[in-house]
Amino acid sequence: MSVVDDHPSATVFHTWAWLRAVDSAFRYDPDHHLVYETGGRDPVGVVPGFSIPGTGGRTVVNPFCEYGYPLLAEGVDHVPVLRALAADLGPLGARVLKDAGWTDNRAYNAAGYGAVRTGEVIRLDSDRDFADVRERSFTGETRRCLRVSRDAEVTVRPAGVDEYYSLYLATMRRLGSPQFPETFFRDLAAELADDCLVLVAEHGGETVGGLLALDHAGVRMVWSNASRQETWNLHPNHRLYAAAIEDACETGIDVVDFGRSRPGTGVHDFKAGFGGQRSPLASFVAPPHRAGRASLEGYGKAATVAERFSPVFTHPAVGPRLKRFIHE
Amino acid sequence: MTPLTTVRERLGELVLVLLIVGVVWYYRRREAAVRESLTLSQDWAAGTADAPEAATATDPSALTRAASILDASPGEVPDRVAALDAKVRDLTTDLEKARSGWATRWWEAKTSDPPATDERHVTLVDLPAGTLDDAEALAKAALDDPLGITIVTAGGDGTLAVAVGAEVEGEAAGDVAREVATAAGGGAGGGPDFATGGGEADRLPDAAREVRDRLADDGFAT
Repeated sequence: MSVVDDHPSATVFHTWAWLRAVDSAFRYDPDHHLVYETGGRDPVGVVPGFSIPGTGGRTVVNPFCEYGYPLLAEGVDHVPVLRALAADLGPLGARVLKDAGWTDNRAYNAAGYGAVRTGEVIRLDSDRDFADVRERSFTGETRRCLRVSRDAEVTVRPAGVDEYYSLYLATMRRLGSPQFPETFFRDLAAELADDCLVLVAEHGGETVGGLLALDHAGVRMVWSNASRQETWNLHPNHRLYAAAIEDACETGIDVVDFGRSRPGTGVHDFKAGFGGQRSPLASFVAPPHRAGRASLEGYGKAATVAERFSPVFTHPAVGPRLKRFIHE
Repeated sequence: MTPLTTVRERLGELVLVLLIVGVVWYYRRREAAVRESLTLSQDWAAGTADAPEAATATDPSALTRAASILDASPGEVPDRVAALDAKVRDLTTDLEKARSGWATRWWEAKTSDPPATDERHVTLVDLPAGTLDDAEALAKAALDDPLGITIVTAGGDGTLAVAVGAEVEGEAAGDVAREVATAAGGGAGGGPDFATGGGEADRLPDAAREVRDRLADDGFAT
């Protein structure tokens, strides 16, 4: 799709590869839009989205990712496009468009959208030598953790999604969070081929951590990360992130995007330790009184309860079905 | 009027009241959600949405959120806030000292000879109350000096950082840092451009001067 290929703000979550993988694994009703100028034949914009059922009504959103904003060619007025997207949602419907501060899309308010802050994203410039990134961007604490990990002989190697999935599943069980079905990971890997990077960390012959990143147009998106809690003193996650960044530096990736996290949390501090530019994330919602559909606060409150019911929430017959309704 | 009829009427009134309360509650929540969400989208449009999220006095979950930020239980929040307050005071004092030190050094730098920029040279910086973070920050800035070797010692925690410019041949930051640190009874490590280490705080400035003299003997301007 040339609009996505040509657009400087396109992300892997705007590509057919991502949308096909979501469609194949979850069977949501696709609700993608192509934008045309009146009388024009070639599309001047795309908007990804799926219609997802929920207790309060259907929500149209690009699920399981950080970015779902419209990609519009230069010169196209955003406001009428956003207004058109907010129309015909039905009496209980809502449209959620996920955006970030770094995109400079500012027309949502003029189009009548409300907003919910969902966290922050950190993006690291990797268009330089890794030594320069390590010395100038990583904090002293992060370099110390990397030294500890290296001295403990934690190693990192490429792997497949099947190997990663067992680690991911163990992490979801620890958190009590419903898991993606394994087919979603396999579909992603098949759709993205070389643009799906899986790394695993090993210690003493055992796999102790893993990372799954998606590449598109010079941007590496760290989309999933998992590790065994009992090995955290060896800092396998630091090793994995550093390896993904080093590989990005060596293979012409310009930016490493660490994905969403909430400021003030341990995960956010961990990511901030690698340096990079922080940018706010928000979900824009029409109509604005349904902004609560995009809020992530409920998930945070449920986290402590979820841990207790982990065996139920992450049961192979339950977890993937629940995940279908938890589109964040 | 039978007792049964009276009970039915009372129940009907109760249902009606609950209905009215529910509708009012729904619309109040809806209005609050609209106001809050439109305010954020307005801030986003104005480019002022980058400020950190803040808990408000009317937010019933403020204590829970504060506890989450502090990685503590709600009951521990007062002690943690008191500890934070003490830390802020300490940091404010440190900041005042740093400002004073910065002003002194700025004046010294202004009134001293500039370093040679067209030949290999070595620069020593001693931060008597500084820490590794200060030394690292200064040494990283010095990486922009292509012909310079910069040795920064921090007396606050007995650490040092070394930067070696990209065009300096035959000297590695890791080796220079080890040379200084070993002479001060410590150790160091790092790469060719940048290294850090530590030793006895009192001995580090002299050790750095010894290494500077050795580099001067090897042809570096001082």
